[in-house]
Order: sequence, then structure tokens, then C-alpha cells
Amino acid sequence: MNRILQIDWYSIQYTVDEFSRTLYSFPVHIRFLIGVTVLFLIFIFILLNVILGSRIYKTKLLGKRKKLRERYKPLLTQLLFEDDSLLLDPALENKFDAEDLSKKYHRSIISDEIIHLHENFTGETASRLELLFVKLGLHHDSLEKTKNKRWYIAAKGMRELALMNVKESVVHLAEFLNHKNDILRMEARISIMKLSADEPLSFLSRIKEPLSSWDQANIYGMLNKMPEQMIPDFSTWLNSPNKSVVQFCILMIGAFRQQDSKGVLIHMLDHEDEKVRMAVIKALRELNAYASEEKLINMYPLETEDIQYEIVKTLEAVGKEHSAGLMEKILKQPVKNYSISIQAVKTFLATAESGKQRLDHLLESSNPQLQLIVQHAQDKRL
Amino acid sequence: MGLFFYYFTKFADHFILIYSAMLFGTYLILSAYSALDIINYMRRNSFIDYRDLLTSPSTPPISIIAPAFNESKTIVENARSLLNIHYVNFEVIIVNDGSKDNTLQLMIDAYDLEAAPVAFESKLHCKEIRAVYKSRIPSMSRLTVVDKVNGGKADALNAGINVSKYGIFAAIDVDCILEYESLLKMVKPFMEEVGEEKVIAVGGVVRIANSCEVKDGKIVKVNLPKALIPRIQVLEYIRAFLLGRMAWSRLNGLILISGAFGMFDKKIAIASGGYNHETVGEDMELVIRMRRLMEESKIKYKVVYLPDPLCWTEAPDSLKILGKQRNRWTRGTAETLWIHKKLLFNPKYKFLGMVSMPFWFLFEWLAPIVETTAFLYLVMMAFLGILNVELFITLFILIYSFAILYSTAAILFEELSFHQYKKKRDIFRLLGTAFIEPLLIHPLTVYYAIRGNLDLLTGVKNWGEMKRRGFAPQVKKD
Amino acid sequence: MAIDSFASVMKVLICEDDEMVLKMVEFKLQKEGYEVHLASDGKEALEKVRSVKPDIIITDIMMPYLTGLEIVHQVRKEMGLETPIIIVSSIGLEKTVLEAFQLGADDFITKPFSPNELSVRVKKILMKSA
Repeated sequence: MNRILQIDWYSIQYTVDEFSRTLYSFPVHIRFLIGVTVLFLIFIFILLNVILGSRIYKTKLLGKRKKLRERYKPLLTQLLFEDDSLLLDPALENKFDAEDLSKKYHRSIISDEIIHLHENFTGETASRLELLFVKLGLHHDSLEKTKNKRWYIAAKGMRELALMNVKESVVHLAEFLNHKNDILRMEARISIMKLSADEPLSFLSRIKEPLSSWDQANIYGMLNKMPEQMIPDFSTWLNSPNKSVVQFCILMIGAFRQQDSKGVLIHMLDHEDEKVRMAVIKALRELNAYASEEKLINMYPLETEDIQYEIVKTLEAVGKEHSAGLMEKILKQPVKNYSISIQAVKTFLATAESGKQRLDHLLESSNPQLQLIVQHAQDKRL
Repeated sequence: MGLFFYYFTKFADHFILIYSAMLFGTYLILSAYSALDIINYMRRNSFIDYRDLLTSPSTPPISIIAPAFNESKTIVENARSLLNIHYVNFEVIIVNDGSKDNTLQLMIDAYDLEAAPVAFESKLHCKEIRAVYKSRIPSMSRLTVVDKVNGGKADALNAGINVSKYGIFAAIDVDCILEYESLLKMVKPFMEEVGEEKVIAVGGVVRIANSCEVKDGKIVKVNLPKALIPRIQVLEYIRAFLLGRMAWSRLNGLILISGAFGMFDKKIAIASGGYNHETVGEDMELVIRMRRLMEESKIKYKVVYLPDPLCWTEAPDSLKILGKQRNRWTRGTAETLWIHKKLLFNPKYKFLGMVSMPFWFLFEWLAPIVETTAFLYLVMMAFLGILNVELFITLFILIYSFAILYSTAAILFEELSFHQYKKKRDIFRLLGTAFIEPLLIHPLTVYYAIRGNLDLLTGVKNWGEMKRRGFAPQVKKD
Repeated sequence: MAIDSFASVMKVLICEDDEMVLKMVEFKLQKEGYEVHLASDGKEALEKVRSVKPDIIITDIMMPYLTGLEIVHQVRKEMGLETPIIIVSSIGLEKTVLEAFQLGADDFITKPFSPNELSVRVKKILMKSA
């Protein structure tokens, strides 16, 4: 044994010596290049090993994941729709293997499946899933995730708690409201919104940074998962110094059809910010705010084309004869913006008394351009 | 003369060394940056639910524009697969660019199309639009087919933009296969825009669909291409997209969004003049022109790239077609750089002028030329019997091992991030490809690039596979 | 709940690409006594409509190959069938809902939905058309 080692050593020593002798016979810059090459080769070797290792690990994990999911699927179905007794503790634990609930990886798969199902269902089924989540102790895992140093894992934990309605976690999540990571901060706000019993959107009063459309879609997505009586009156924040909050609230007033805010919105048509005015005009359309007609007609000439288009479109929903007059005026002028003209025809037909005849009359004295626009406007597919 | 020659060879040796070192250095820095950005991207999107976008009133509508020229084999299926994409509010505009085959008729029959009275404003110049078709089938209301006189890809895209209804458009190759959630993912950067910084364009990774199992226009199973030529391109694409463009995106210096799949802010695309008919590199040219407009009007902006494999395309599987494609790419790059030569090393254009453009000039356009020149130089030296054999061999091995290292790193990124090739065998074959690519295909791609430059100088202009374009005389550029 | 004698003769086709949701709805409706058939994409759904001749179809909108809206169109126009169709979709956009009804859908439920409510609606529609 010892001897073999010695012999090995010797030959290695010899090779190394031989190698360095040859190496040193080269000029310095070539030696440098060889050094770099060796470095590259070492890196290649390391990378190859990482690739293979990762490949073996992932293949194994994927197989395991698939197997476990296959096993849990029928189990969950049964628990959801079978008798209530199954959700009672002793019966519940017997359904799962000891391994299922003791191993973190197994639990994480059960948790993912439950949350995924929960996203699709409401009513009793959803409540059962929430109950099941807590009974299996999966919320402990979610809470632990929120304590993870890696922010994206914390964010995932928060989402899980919010989606599964683990109300008691709200106290814990509050500390993230001042976290330095802005995505995590936003996630915390949204999660707390879902879980808190009173004033779920109070963060809107405090938030300084602008809400992007993405944030807004996320907040709306979560609002959609909340019971209707929890949706607040969004007019509360219409005076916020944060313009994006104002815009968001206007959007929500429209989306949740908060009719009581119509009056306030009509006042806001005077707002100095173009984006806010745009949002207001769209919301008034959703609310069918007939009372806004006069104001919209009056502001039309002074607005940008983008807003003019929205005005004409809203008038289709809220306008009467008066709007028809404006449309007629628009259509008589030479076409400057196709979208506005096309929408003007639609609005004209919706608001004018015997609009069809009047439109035909208008067409008699017009150019082919307008005729095409009128045809376009009347084709429902376009 | 002897002295001159001596200095010349000294200079050439050093130039080759320095250029290689710069190239390696740049590539290594870019890969490191890419790695950071991919990790960041994956983290940011690890916990979110794209389905929230399907219900939200703040999700913007999108127009998909797909030019089609002689696509009769697949057009019906491809149009259907585009209509099936998971999104709320979108339209699909197929622009028949004067196909010589029955592309249009096939669509008319399959989707029960009729000419519709569409009024639109020609904000961008394009060849005459003969008719705009809509389907009589109500569930096909999202489909619009534009029939126009042949004018090339850029022209067809401009026609599509003119007809489109929405504020964001996605330009795609009609034979591309999009993942269902591709629009949801691509629209996210536009929605994340806050404050002053405008998102003007978003690009997506393009992957190679050869040998993948495709059923009714959808990828069912991802396979590594069996044939060598497309397999090598898989490697090239992974390298270019995962190691290159992600870094540029992070540095906000991206100037190329592949014509196969990109999303743009329509207003800004129109304001900058739309697609350029004068170049075969219209995809890159548009991004540069949009960026230029933003720089010149001093508006903060961003061009974003997503590493997700969202778009799959058939890659050339013969050397002949590959050669034509690379020839075209080279001409596109050269033409684009020429059109925007004013930006090169111009501090007024900040990062775009000082880094992005020079990079493309020095390492994308010039690299094959330097490589060829160096090769010719070495051959000459060998001929004269004064080749420094030691240097030549060590340098060759060094460059070869760097190429492998770079490819291996790309494969590692792919393995750790999106993990598309699930079979164990596939990863070995991909690694094997990394070893042969520098020797086998790389010299050819260099050759194609040189040919592209020569063709450009001698005035050859064609689109490769779309060569039968227009009867209108091509405008010569002097 | 005891197996409903009314339900036991009725065939329901569920088209949904989310396997988990598909299984859940299958389980629920089977328990009510329906004969349940499944399809996980649009193509399969149309094949099943032909082969199974269901009494009612429940379909998602966003599915591989064919959308739920196209299924409604094909069933109504191409096959000329009056089979009741319920759409279950996460797209709650007014435009989409209207489009579905115009094409001939009988009911529209937005996701997330309550399986209990779905089963009540299925029963009501079947009673009406019986």
C-alpha cells in the first residue's frame, strides 16, 4: 500500500518536473497564456460537475414531486367533498402517512396543492380548504417563510397566509410595512389588506411611492378575493397627495360600481392632472353617470385627443340629445383623428333621436372618408 | 521595408492578443451581469400570480401583428394558435404581404373571412392595403387579416401598426409558437412602469423548436434537435439570450429585440417613424431609432428583456439556409450601424452612444472581420516561414477553451434557470455540441458574415427566404 | 346527499385544462349522481361532444387548442346542437361575458367559483331544458 503510494508520488513528481521544465522553456507571454488556459479548463471542469449534479438532483426531485402530487390529489378531493367528519383531527391525520406531515418537502407540496385549488374556488369549498390548511399546520410553514432572510421567500409566505386567510398572522406581517425592499413592502400591504378586519386599505392613506399598474392589478386581484362587504368606499382617498393612489381609487370606483361617488367624480373632471381626468372619464362611463354629460361636452374642445376620445366614448353611455349635437359637429369637421370620428358615429347613434336617418342625411353631403368611418362604426366586429 | 515589416508583425501580434483579451473580458463581464439579472428576474416572479392580470381593469390591451409571406403550409394553424393565447383584451392581425401562394385564400376559407369596412389612419408609410378582412364567425372576432401589396417585412409590420387598435403592439413571426402565458409575462414590464421612466419596448427570448413535439401549433414536449446544425444554434441562442441580452437589459443598453417576438409602445414606435424599409435588419433598427428619439427628447426610458422561454421558432436545418440567414443578419447589423453612425462614440447619447453601439460595432460586426484578417495574416506568416508556432498553438488552444467555457456557462445558466431540456441525454449532447461548435460551425458563420459584408458592398439586397419580394425597384443607398 | 334520480341519467361534459380543478368538479358532480365525462383541452372537448352526446357542457375559456368560446360556436353552429353550455372562466370582463352569451352560452360563472353553486346551476338548467 505504502509502496504503491510512493511510486505514484514519484511518477507524479517526475511528470510535474518535466512539465515545468518544458513550461519554463517558453517565453513569458506564452507561459501566461498557458496559465490562463489551464484556469479556463479548471473552470470548465467545475461547471460540468455543477451541471451534472444539478441535473441528477432535479430529475430526482421532479420524479418525487410528481409521485407525491398523484397521491395527494384524490386525498384532497375526498377531504373537500366527503362528510365533515373527515376534517376532524383524528380522522384527518389517519388519512395522511406520518411522513407526509413530518417532512417539510412533503408538506410544501400539500400546501401548494391546497393553495392552488383555493385560487379556483369560493364558498364552502374555499372555507374547507382554509380549514384544512390550518388543521394540517401548514400555516406554520408559511409563517416561517416570512421570517426567511431571502425576501422573495418571505413574500411567498405572506401570499400564502393572505390567500388562506390566516387572520392571526396579520400582527406578524405588520412589521414588514417598513421593510427596505419595496416589493416586499407592497406584498405586505396587500396581504394585510386581505387579512385585516377593519379598514383593510388604510395603507392608501400613508403610501408615498407611486403605485404602478402592476401594483394596482395585484391589489385589485386581492380585493377580488375578499368578501364584498369588506370593499371600502374608495372616495376616501380621492384627495390623496399621491396621484397614483387617486388614479387607482377612481379606477376602483368604476370597477366596483360605487355609485355614491358619482358626484365627487364629476367635480374631479376639473383636476389639473391629465391622467386623473382620463381615469375619471372612464369611471363615469362605468357608473353611467348621466349627470356628467354637460360638463363633458363643455370640456371637450380644450382637451388632448386622447381625452377627447374618452369623452366621446363616455358620452355613448351617459349622453342624450345634447351629446348628439356635439357628435354632429365633430363629424361635420374634416377627420383629424380616426378613433374619435369612429367613436363619434357610435355615440351619435346611441344618443341622437332617430339617429340613423340623421346620419344618412349627414352622409349625403360628405366625402367617402366619412362614409367608410360610418360603416366601420356600425360593424360590431370592429 | 524590413523594419516596417518587423513593426507590422509586432503590431499584428499585439493587436490579436489585445482584441481577444478585450473580447473575453467583455463577454465575461456580460455573463456575470446576465447571471445577476436572471437570478433577480426569477426571484421577482417566483411568488406572483399572472392570472390576476386577467381580471384587472389596469391590464392594457395588446395588438399582435404577424406578417405572413408565402406561409400556406402553416398559416391556418398558426393563426389559430395565436388566437388561443391566454390574455384578456387583444387582437391578432395577420398581414398577408402579397403572398404568391394561396395564404390568403386558405385563411378566407378556414375562418370564413369577408372584406370589412375598416377605417384607419395611415400613420406609417406602407404599400397599398388591398383589403382588411374580418371573420363572419363571432368567436373569431379577435382576428383581423390585412391583405396588401408586397413590400417586405418592415412594410407589412407598418401596415399592421396602421390597422391596429391598441396602444401596445407585439410584433411576431407568424411561424413562431408562443407560450400561452407569453403576453401576460411580456406586458408586466410595461405595467411596472412608475414615475418618469417610460418602458418603450420589451423583448423575449427565442428558442429553437426543431425536433420538439408540436401538436396543433403548440409545443407539447421540448426536445433537443437531433440534427447537428439546429443543435448548434440552440447553443448559440442560449448563449446570445441568456448570457448576452439579459446583461444589456440590466444595463439598459439593449439595442436588439429579435424580430421573432417583441412588444413595443405604439405611440413611440410611430413617433420614431415605424419600421425602416431600407434595411433587412429592421428589428434592430427600430429599437435604436426608438431609443434615439427618447435620448433626443430627453425622456427617461427603458428597454427590457425577459429570459423566459416564451417564443419558439424553427431554425434553419441546412447550411444553405443558415448561410442566407447569417448573411442577412450581418447586412442588417452593418446597415443599421451605418444608418445610426452618428451615435457611435457620441457622448450625447450616453450609454447608447458610448457603450451599446460601440460594442455592436467592435464585437458583433467587426469580430468576423478581425477573425478572418487574423487568419489570413497567420497563413501569410506560415507561408513566409516566420509563423510563431508556439504562440499560434497556445493562442488557438486558449481561444478554443474559452469558447467551451463560455458555452458551458450558458448551459449551466439554462440548467439552473429554465431547465427546458429535461432528458439526461440531452444535456450531454448539448455539452458535446459545445466542444465541436467552435471547430465545425463557427468558421462557417464567420464566412457567412464576411459574405454578408461583401454582398452589402456589391449591392446585393435580399431577405434570404423572403427573397421574392416586390416588383417595385429597390432604392439604392449610396 | 342521496343520489338524485334525475341526475343519474344525465351526462355532463367538463372541459378544463387545470387537472386538479377538473378532478374536483368531476368528484363533486359524480357525487350528485351525474355521469361525468372529462376533457382537458378544446379539441378533446369537441370530440367528446360528438361521441358522448352530453346533456350539458361545462367549459373553461382559456384552454389549449380551442377556446371555450369557440367550443360554444362549434356546438351551436357547426353541430347545430342545443345542448346547454355553462362557461366557467377567470376572465370576468364584461365584453367576454356578453360575447359568450351572444354565441349561445346559457350561463357564465367567474372563477373562483363555488362548486355547490355550479351544481345548483347545472341542475336548474337541466330541469328547464328537460
